[in-house]
Amino acid sequence: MIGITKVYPIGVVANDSASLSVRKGEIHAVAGENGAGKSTIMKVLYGAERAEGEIFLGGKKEEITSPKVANALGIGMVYQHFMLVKEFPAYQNIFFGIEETDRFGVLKKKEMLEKAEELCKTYDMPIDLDEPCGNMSVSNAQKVEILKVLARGADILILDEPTAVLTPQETEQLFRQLRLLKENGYTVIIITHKLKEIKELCDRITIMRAGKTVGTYNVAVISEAEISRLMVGRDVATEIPKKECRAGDVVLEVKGLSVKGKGEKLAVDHVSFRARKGEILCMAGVEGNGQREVVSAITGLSSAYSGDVLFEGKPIKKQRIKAIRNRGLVHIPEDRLKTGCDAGSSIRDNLISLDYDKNSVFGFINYKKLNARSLEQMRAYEVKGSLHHKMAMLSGGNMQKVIVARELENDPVLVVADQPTRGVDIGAIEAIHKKLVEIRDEGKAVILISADLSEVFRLSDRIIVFHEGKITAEISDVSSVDEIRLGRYMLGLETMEANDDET
Amino acid sequence: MIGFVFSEEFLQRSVVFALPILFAAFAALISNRAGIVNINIEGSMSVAAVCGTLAGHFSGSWILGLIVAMLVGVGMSMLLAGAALVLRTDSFLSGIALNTLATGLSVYILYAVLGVKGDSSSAPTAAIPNISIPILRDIPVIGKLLFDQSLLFYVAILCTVFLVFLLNRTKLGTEIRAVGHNPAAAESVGINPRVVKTKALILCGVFSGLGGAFLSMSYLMYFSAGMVAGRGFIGIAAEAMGVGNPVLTALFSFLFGAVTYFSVGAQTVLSFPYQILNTLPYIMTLIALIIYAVIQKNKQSKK
Amino acid sequence: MKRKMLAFFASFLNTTATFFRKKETKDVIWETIRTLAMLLFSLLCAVVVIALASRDDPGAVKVFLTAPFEDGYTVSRILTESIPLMFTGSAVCLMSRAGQFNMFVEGGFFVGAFVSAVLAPELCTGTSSFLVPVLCILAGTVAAAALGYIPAKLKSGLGIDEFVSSLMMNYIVLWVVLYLLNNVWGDPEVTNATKYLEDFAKLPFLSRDNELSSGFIMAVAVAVLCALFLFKTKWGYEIRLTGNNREFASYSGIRTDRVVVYSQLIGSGLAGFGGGVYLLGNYYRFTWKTLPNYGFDGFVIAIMARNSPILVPFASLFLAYLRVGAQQMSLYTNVQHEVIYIIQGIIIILFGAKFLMDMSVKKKRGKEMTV
Repeated sequence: MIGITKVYPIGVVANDSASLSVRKGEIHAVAGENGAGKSTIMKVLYGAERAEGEIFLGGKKEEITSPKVANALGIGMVYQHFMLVKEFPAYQNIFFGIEETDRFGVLKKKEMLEKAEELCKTYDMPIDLDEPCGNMSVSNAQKVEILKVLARGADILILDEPTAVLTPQETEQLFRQLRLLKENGYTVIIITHKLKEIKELCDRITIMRAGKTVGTYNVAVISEAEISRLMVGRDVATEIPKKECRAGDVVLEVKGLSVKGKGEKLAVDHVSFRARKGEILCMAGVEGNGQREVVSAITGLSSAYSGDVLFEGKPIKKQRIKAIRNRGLVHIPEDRLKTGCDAGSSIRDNLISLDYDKNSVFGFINYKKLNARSLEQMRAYEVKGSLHHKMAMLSGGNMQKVIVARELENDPVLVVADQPTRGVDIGAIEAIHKKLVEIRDEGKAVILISADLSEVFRLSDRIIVFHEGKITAEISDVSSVDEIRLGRYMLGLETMEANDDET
Repeated sequence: MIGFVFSEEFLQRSVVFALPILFAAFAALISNRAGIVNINIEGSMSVAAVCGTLAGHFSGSWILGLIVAMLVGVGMSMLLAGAALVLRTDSFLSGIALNTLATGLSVYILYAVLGVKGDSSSAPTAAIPNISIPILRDIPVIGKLLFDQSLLFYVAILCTVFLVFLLNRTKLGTEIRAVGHNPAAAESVGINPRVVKTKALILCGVFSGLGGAFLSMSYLMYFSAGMVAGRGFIGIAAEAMGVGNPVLTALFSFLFGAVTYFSVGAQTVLSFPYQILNTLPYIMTLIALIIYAVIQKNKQSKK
Repeated sequence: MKRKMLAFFASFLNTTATFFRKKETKDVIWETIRTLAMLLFSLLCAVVVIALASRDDPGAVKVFLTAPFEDGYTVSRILTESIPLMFTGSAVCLMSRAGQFNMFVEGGFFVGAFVSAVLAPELCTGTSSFLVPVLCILAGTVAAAALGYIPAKLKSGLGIDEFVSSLMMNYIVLWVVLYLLNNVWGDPEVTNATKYLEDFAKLPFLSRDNELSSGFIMAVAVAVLCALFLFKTKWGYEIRLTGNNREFASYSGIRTDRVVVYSQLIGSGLAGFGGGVYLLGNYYRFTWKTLPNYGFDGFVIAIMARNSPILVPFASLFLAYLRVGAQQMSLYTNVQHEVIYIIQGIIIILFGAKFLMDMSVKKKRGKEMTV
């Protein structure tokens, strides 16, 4: 594969002359920061997107115009967001698009089940083939995805961030299976930015930065520090200047919070914790262990829970969201596009959504004043663009800065920041991290929800770890634990007696 | 009054009123399962009705009329496909547009062919035959209901079976359901959602055509402007109630048909203003929608 | 002097050039060109359809295109025809900005007209105040809004699709009104009509000769007020945010269930208002036997106006021009005016087509963002 260049209509060059070459029978990592163009180059290779440039397979130039062509050439891809039809049972997903039928297009269920079973056995992926994929665990759904690719006769597998949603144990299992595939002569390309996994699994690595390939290296000879330097282009500032933590009064108290989940199990199981002024409290944990439900409860978005949530001593249950927000509880939501902003409105309209009503006379909004204020905020947060630009025109990082500006400038008492830097560029991450620390230094309370361990370690003063809806550990001295230990807590392998540090 | 409701005739006639709703509901079902909002059925039915009845009149053959109606239904569906899939107009808007267009088109065709306004009662069509099976039709209660009906009644039953089979047992059905649920997944395995949606719309057009033909070639022997009278929309409601399940959809269509017939039939039995009786099918639809929503809500809160 | 003028000219050119180079201006210009092109195209479609429909009537196309401008009366017909369109068009704009597709504009217009017409003779006994039409129209507005509350509440409370429920409401309202008209409140002397309106119950004419009622001014005013409401007030802001991204709106503390309800209340009320104004301005009694279809027309207008109430009068005038052309044509030739519905359908599809939008905006906006 040589020189894939993809020019986006918007003018953003995602893959500005990137080239990649992969050897048969190896596990090849494509690494880079968010937005470096990893996913794009893979989509081009898989025919899901078109680009200028050339692709060679086994020395022969190929035009890969669609996933179908890619499939025919033996290339298969497992997307980060699974491409499964949830309502279909596993076997139907595996053979989706290549179903066995008779002459009249009637499905041959028995044949497909037999074939699927054989595939499962060969590649050591035991799953229930009749179970609808919507009911499966993430790791089983991923297996279905891999089987789906194998059933198509692919010998080159592309996996986009396959471990992002897996526990370390499941990751281990996945790696075993991938190595098995390699032994059977398959070529595996995995997109990742997790250095440890690259070291553990891969033979070679191609590093991408800002849409270009930086180079391809033998994993055995390149160090983690080297890889990270090449990915970012500069050494990442791991430390952030922070004043010593002076935790003050309790701002938010959660007592015996329980939220019903799917089926019998509780999504949140009698959780209690407190957030104090001048402290960044981090809710760590693998995604889907109850953090989202806790956030919905403490921000007042949902009242479907038992237990108490007290904000400055008063319960917030059944209070209007507006009232809660007016009391100074601000929320940077997890899903930027769905919850955090209105992409179809202007930047200005997005910046004023919390207090447009306070700034209106007889129902008429004082746009003059709010325009001036919005401009000021855009300048302070270095948002590129003009007031009346549509939010949708902004990059992820700029969009997030608009959201952060709106929330943090709204006189917060408590900031609930849910994955505040996911999918944004390094510059924006720096800015947002600094801002959160600044807020905390001003003596305000911050609750950070993050799945990114480096972020957790960088920012938090205190960590509570969630596993299966319970708090499995509370770490008051962040320097006392390392990533491995925290990982064990996150997986529920170890629990810590909750020590309520009242003092 | 009670005798009226529990008569054999009531059941039999209810089916007659249910059939156009049923075909409309099936049209809505197949396009909904493929992920297309289709409110164009009303319009398709009316254009199909006028073309079918005219073809039947001039050829003297009901078979030809029926075929023309189905083809025209498909044609209208293809207009929707063109607007929604090629020009990428919002399918809801396209539906409104095509309904508006159909209002004009049906009158226009009528005028262009016969030179008359309003209705084609001056040109009665060849009727789609009734099938009445001796002996069986004399079975009490269900005899007339099941064995003394328009040909299209039997076609409708076949369609129900066909839809169940198509959706669950065939490759095309798999594709339609996948495109409706998760078009990205379908695309990722090389299925072109547009092609699948177009196929679904063809079927949808056939159903709309059957519905239209029933109105102007069996229920009445001629077309009159506005004769569809919201049946397309009631069909959409029936489909919503049947949650995409062909059998449930058919049952709800029958229910709506029964209420419609009641409102018409009762006018001869009851001394009640006909205007108020005419509201019944619509009130019934509204109430059914409410009951359905309340049940759904309770189900959710129980979760 | 000459040099001064040259300098002035140069600076003028310069400012114009920068004005035209600005992105926003370019967008507006593009949009205008595109809109004009689509209007022209729909007019062309109309001509083709009519030419096909009138093969034995070669003059039909000419009548269709020129008859609306024949004399003062026909021009005033255009203005009159545009009155209901402006009301329902503005109403639809407001509701679809909130993401609501409520078809009750149709029924609301009908009810508003009926209530005004029924009430006017009752109020006239004893008084002859200018308040009569005001009160009548107000009553029509309230009645329409009250009925529009039903589908609105069903949507916000139970999540029932407002499109289907409001359609059903339309049919129910139609038959109930016809019942009331014939059995309770109508003129007992004739079927299907209210009593004649007294002169002072009617809205004043702008031009008595051409029968142009003052309702036209009100209709334009309503469109302007709607634009102000939508873009200058907090309620308008809430409507826009809710329509664009309901989840974000409720996360921001906006009570979106309320927005859903009040946008539809206002929309239905506006339709009722329009019905009252149109009836008291242009009729002598209420005699409608079917729904007047102005609700669906409202959708055509809203789509042409891109949901901007300020563009509603222009869109309405264009459609009214086509209508009057078609009516005149069916007077003078054999072609029926219903052909206009075919054109309306084409207009909706054209104006709604994202495909054409992408063509003219070309590659300005990328569909995809990098991950």
